[in-house]
Amino acid sequence: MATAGIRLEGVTKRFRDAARGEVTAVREVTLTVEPGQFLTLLGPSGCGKSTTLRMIAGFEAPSAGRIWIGDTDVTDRLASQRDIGFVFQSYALFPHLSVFENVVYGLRVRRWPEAEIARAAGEVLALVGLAGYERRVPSQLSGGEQQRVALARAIVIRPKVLLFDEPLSNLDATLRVRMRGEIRELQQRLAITTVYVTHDQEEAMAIADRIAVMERGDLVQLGTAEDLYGRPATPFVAEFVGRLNRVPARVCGREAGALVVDVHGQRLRAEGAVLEGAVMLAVRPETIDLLPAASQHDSAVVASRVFLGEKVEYVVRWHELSLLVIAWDPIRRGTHVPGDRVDVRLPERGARILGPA
Amino acid sequence: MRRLSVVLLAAMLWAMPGVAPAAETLNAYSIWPENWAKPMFEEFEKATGVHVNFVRFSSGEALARVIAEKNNPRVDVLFGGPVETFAAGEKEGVFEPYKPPAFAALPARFKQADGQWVAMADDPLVFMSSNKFLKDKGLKPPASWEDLLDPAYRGQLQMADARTSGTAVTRIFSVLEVNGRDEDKAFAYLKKLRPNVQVFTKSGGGGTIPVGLGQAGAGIFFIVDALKTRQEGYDVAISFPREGIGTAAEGIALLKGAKNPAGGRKLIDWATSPAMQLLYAKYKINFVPAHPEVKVEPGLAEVLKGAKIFPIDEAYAGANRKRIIERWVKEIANP
Amino acid sequence: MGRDPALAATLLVLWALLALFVVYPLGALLVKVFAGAGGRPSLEHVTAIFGEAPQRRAFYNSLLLAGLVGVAGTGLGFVFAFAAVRANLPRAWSRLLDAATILPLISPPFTTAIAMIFSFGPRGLITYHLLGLRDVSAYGLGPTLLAETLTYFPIAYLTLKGILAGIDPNVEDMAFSLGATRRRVFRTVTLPLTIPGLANAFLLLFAASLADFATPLILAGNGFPVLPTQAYLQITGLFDFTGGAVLSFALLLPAFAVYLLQRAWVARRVYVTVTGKAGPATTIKSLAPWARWPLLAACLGVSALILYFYALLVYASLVRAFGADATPTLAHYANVFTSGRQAIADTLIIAAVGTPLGALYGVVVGWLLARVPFTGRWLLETVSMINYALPGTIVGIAYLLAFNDPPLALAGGATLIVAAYVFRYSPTGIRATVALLHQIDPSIEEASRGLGAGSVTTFRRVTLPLVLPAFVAGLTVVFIRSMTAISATIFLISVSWTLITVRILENMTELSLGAAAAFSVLVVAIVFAALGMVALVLRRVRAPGTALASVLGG
Repeated sequence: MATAGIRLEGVTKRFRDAARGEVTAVREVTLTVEPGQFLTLLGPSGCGKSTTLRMIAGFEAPSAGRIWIGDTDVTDRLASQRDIGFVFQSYALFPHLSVFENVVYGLRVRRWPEAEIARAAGEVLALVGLAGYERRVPSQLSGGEQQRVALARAIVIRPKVLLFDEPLSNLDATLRVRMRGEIRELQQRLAITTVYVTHDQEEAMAIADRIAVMERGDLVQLGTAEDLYGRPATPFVAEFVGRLNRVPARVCGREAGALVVDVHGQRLRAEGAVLEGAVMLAVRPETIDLLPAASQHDSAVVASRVFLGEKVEYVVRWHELSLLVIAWDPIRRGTHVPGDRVDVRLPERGARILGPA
Repeated sequence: MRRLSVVLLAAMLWAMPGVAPAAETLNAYSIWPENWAKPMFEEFEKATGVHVNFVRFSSGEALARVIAEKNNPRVDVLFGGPVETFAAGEKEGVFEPYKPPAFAALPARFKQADGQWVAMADDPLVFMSSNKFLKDKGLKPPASWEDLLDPAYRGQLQMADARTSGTAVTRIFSVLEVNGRDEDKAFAYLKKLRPNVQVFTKSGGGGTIPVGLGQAGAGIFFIVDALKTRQEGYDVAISFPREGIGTAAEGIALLKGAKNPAGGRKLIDWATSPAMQLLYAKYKINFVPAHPEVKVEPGLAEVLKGAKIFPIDEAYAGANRKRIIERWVKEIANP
Repeated sequence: MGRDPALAATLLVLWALLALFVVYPLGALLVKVFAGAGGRPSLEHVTAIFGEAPQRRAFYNSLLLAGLVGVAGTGLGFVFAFAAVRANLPRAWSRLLDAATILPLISPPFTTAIAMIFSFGPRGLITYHLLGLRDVSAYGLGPTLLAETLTYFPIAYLTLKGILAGIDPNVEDMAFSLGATRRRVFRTVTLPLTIPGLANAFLLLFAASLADFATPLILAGNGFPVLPTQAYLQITGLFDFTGGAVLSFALLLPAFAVYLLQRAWVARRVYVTVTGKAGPATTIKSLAPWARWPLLAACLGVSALILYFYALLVYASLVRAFGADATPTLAHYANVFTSGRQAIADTLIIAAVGTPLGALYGVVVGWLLARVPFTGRWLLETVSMINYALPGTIVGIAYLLAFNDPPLALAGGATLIVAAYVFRYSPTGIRATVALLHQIDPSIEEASRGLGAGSVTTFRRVTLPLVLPAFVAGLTVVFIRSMTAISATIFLISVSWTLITVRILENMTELSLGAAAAFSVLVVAIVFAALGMVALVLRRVRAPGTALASVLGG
């Protein structure tokens, strides 16, 4: 079955909650996923990303708005009529069925001929590296193996779109990194439109063509990993995607279309909303340089240091600020130790104004 | 699961009534207990080919049901039970009058003048006592109503509850008759009797086994029940009060609106004729036949010899039944 | 969910059935109770009935009896449960305890009562022949209390056994390691953890006793009238439907109070100490060696009494006339299998129809409640529990009132008996299903829907296999109750449909003790056979979590 794009228009979901009354879980989300594209929905827990995904799947009905898969408005269709492949965080394997029967469940529902079913199951199990596991039952499999069965079960029906709900969060760190590579590779090979929910920004960046960041039910930014990291649309995105320091600054002029701000005597060009007076600046930790202290005046003190191999993370006290600083390639470039006095050099460009202080 | 259903199915197939469906069926509430009603109905089917479906209720229950179902009767015939029960039903207009061929031959007290009901047997009350109990206490079988008030009987009598049992109603009307229908005098006696009563049973025969076992000392029962107990082998004495004791005719009636009135009439014809009443002896049912042509079985006649037995006036009983029972419940059963 | 026609249809059918067989009869009862002259609402019937001291006494007696049975049964159940869980019983002994506790649960009514009548009283086997006591009464509060306690304490035993077994031994070990004595550990750890279970057991027993009709009918005697039997006599004896309705209505209030208490209080307070990996099975030290023997002696004594009762029943079914003629005979069984054939057939047919329906109903409703969001879910849950919470006498009387006349003249038919069983005894299946589904990841069913299966296919191919243990539990309970219940259905039998239990009552109140005993033995045998098969099936479907405890808990 040919893959298809997905379109959401003004999709809203309201719940009635006994404790909190009416809660809007998803608010007027409009977005388009092109055919063959890999989109992740990223956000902290409770932001509405899973609800959005489940509305695409048909497990929840939107309170308002429409959903299209390809050219079909599927808003009023049951999940069973949407032609989707879904992979759950808990895998949701049928515990009473063998691996084979789990994988071919959707094919049996579609009344495929037996020979076709066997062939497709063999293919897909080979694809996910589980050939020979047909007769086991889910309880005999490891987490990673269960994940692959869930994946095989979702793709064997050749769905129009593939949907993942935090599929890797029950796996250990190493396996998680490997599986995300495999999922991405498989998606590329099958060229299937995919929506993938995660709260892990690194995973989102690693796996997706585009990332949609959600906050408290709102879609706040949609773009590539570079867009989100380099040009976060809101302070929330800036903080959620990557790490940053909040640095108070004062606007002191304009230069070549950018604002010039002053931070303890250092003048920087900053991007962002045009403001005056005191502002809050976002400075990424890897853009800050630490130099040996030139004088006692205006120097900073290294408070702590975490050595991570390819980088060192410092916390540096500078005026009233605690700055996170990341320095790369520490073996060749040398490191500071706690107690060292250093000069802090903020980046001359690339800092963003988050808003008024 | 499959085995469970197979076994259940097999059990059900076995349990399906094996009798080939009779050409004609009749539905009845029987007040006679199953072990007497069943052989009668089987003999009836042999004789006429009509199969009788029945369910057994105490007389009060049966009457209550018949009245409740008045607009939509579920049975054709009410079979057995003291005729004062029928007299009460007569007031509610639940019966269809019918005079069977034996009607003319029956003594007056064995039939309602219009044929609302007819009797098929007579059933006197008796005192039945446990011989073990009598020996323990050094008593003779009670020979007077007053004997039962003896403190030796405290908590030792079992008799039926008037709410459900015709035996009890006949008993209470016996006390009324003995006291010249003076209700207050009769109830004064019943009140005095009350401390000696261990329990009022739901059905008339309910106390027979406890008395047979010696769990209760004595009780007042219909003679059929008492003799049955003795036949079973229980060591009991049967006696009659010298003041006299009531007897209840056992009735049968066709219900108004019966689905199979013709079949019902066939049963009434048969039950009031010697054809059925001659069978009492064969099945060791110790009723006194109602039809004058049927002789009392010698053993039964022996027991009855010298006993003072009077009929309960069904008109008086029927007219006052409800009120008397309610008074009994209020003053005696739940004081 | 209006988008799913199968679901909408299911809900519609369910509501129609509940309206017909739960709401409407209850409504009919209330109308009977509160309709005064001219059809205006009035309390005249209520005041008329309860203006009579004996009826008020029956009400107090019912509450008193239920309270005492609750206390005594819970105490006895706790002793048994404690012995079973903490006394390191030899295998044979625990088998004995199991047998003694399962028999009363699967027996027809009256069995204990019959045996009590033989054993106690002026010439009772125990009171007279064994103990030499004279003039002991077998009727009244004491004997009724004893019979009901012995009949219902297994419910407390099963409830408490699960809770005691669920207490992580490490918790008690921890208390010991902190220097507490056995008594202190019992008082400060074991008992508080069991209190919700004790309260729950008490309420279950209270409700069971309140609803019990058969035992007081035989044993309460006249000095101790209770409501269910009074209501029965009022209707069947005095043909006073209104009075019967009022009396049974009086039962409704405490019954519902207990039900609400149980829901509101107990359900939220069940401590689960099993979190993560349970501690290793340490040898449990909470029972002092000196306390072990009295505890076991008490359990053995009670077990022996129960087994003796059943032995007596078997004996009575095998001799010509109990207490008079000890000649061995199979005549009572012959009688049961000939003249009782109709009753056996009817009972089995009704059970065979009602059991799968009830089990399916339980699983479907349980699934709807646990999984499907729809408006009126709370209402559905409440309504589906009504007939369960009400004493059987009320249900029977309400059915009789509601279905006596056209156009709904169902009285006398099998439909009504089946409906009585399904709606009264399936809530156990509903609760089992809900509990099981709460442990099963909902996404398993979503996965099926996501793969293209409709709600019917998903239910059939995924949900049903997963909730099979609950389905079997529902099946078993409805089957057992279909074989043994009487309180509601005694009002519903007719010429065409009669029941074994009603025949037992007839035989009891007539002269045929042997036949009553033979019928009872037959029922116990049938139920045992069915339970054995269920156990086999459960083993095969690998659902060891569903012990008989959960099956019989309701």
